[in-house]
Amino acid sequence: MTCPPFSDLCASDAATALAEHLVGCSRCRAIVARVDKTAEPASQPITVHAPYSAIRPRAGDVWTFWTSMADEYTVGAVLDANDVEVLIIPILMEATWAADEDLVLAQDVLGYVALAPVWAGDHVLAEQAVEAVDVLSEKQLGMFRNAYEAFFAGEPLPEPGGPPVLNDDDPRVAAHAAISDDLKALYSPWSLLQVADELGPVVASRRADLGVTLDDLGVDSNVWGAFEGGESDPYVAIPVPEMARVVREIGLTPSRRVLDLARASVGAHHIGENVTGAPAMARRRRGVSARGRRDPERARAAADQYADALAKELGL
Amino acid sequence: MTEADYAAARSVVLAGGDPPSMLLADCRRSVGLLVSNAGLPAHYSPYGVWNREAVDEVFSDWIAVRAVGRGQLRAILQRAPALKVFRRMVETSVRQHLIDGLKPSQAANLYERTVELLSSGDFGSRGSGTGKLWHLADGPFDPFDGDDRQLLAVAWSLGAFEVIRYDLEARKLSPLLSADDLERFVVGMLSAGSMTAATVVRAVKLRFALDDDQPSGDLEDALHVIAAPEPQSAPVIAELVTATLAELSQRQARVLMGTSKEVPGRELAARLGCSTGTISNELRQIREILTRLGADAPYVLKEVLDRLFQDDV
Repeated sequence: MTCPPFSDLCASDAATALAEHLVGCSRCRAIVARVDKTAEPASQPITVHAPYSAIRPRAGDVWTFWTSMADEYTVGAVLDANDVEVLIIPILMEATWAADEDLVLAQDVLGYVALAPVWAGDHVLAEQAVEAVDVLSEKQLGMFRNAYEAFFAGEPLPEPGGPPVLNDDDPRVAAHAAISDDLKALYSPWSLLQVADELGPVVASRRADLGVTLDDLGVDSNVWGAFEGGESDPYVAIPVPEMARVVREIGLTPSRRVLDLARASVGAHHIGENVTGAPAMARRRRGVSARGRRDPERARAAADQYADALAKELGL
Repeated sequence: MTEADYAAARSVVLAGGDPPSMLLADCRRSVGLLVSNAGLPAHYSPYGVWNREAVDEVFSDWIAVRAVGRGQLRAILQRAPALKVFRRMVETSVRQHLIDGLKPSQAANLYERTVELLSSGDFGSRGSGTGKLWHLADGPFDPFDGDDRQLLAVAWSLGAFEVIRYDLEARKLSPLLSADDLERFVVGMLSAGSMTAATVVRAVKLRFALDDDQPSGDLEDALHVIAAPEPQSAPVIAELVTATLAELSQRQARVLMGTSKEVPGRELAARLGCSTGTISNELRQIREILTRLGADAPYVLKEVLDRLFQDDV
């Protein structure tokens, strides 16, 4: 997480108001220990929350995007969008590092000179979109799209923002690495939800990243183990409030993508109640209980019901 | 200014309105606090020392040139959802504005220094006057025939350079690039083909973003500006330590601490959860910060590290 402003480090209540940050930041602790304190208190803490704008971005819009892992918004040009995800090219304030895989936007586009690293274009969740701040003209959108398509086709950008990188000594190589690292926070809410097509394995992957056990989460390890293994139906095994709690606790962004994954989990493993008593099979082994036949209609209905309940629980 | 005031002001500007006076007053407050608490070293001041007039002038110039003129206020507001983020970004912008403002005055003698270097006997030439083409002794001899874009690509390929020294002793000499770095730059450029001195200087200006439209500054003015206290004096060092800490980001501070302990770059990257390229980028920026401290850098760096490790314990 980024540091507070210098002025807050000079505030009368810096040591207490910023205690959480100061624990992990030598730089800010050193400053607080040195500066004279002003009479004013530090800025109020920010409440970081998902914005959940009712309006969704459209191609050609310029929006701000939110992530729980950064306190700044990222501005991005929207190339494509639907209810679940948005394809963007980020727009940065610092154009110094422009190379031949970047676009440089003149001041008349957004009101300030900006860098659009085409190579850093990627998806975010629709729920990360905060507010529209500008709209690109058809020509400007065409420029973005042409650049994006050229980059992913391995061709030169039609209107590159800077000269090419000729060797690894070029400091722009390292500067671009830093830009890429800084953008990870923006893209991770989307990328964390792409590791599988069902919610269980996605939860398992995230839990492994965090080093959190099922016991840490206070859930039944047998039930959740099967769910994470993509072997069980959360509709019958995991109450919706518990699912919502775990989603939040492991830092998955409440989103339509989460609902789609939950829907997929139920849809893949749900067995309709009325078919569990199916006729005995002649070759059924003794001691093995009958496994009901899947009823796709009922599975779909259960999946929607579970996803709707989860949406309410997650505040979507 | 409260969070609600900020949200209202942000909405006004993002909707195309003029920045409310309350927002500008908060920017002025940030500049004042940076100065009064040593977040900005004295050599960043247009007068060489900080006083009320200097703060007012810096604030007015930042508003006119960068915040409004270059649209940076709008850019910052788009990215800052909360007041504390806005204040942090304003502080960074003001600091960068002051650093950028010092470049042109130091570029004034660049052409003379380049011609002097080219005439030192280590380079060959043909032609005469301003059209004289300079080349390395062993070539290449063909003229460089690229445009500005290609010229800049070659200039970037020469790697990182540390620009601008601010301390009293160095500032009299005003080197945008040290003698060694200027020579490395010139040799590197001529490796791409023979060039006029003007082309080499053009490459310097492109590479280091020196704006021809800005006043280049007068040497007498520059000397007048530098009414800095004794560099070795403890109060100045103390001020520079605070200013350096303020300029470092959290990640740069951690990179600095790791590097001072000789932690390998790859391991440091793993610890900080970033790439080795990012570590290189942070090191370059740290070197730039230290270069601006000139002869004071070793003292300041030692003290900065002491403070960082002391608090870390």
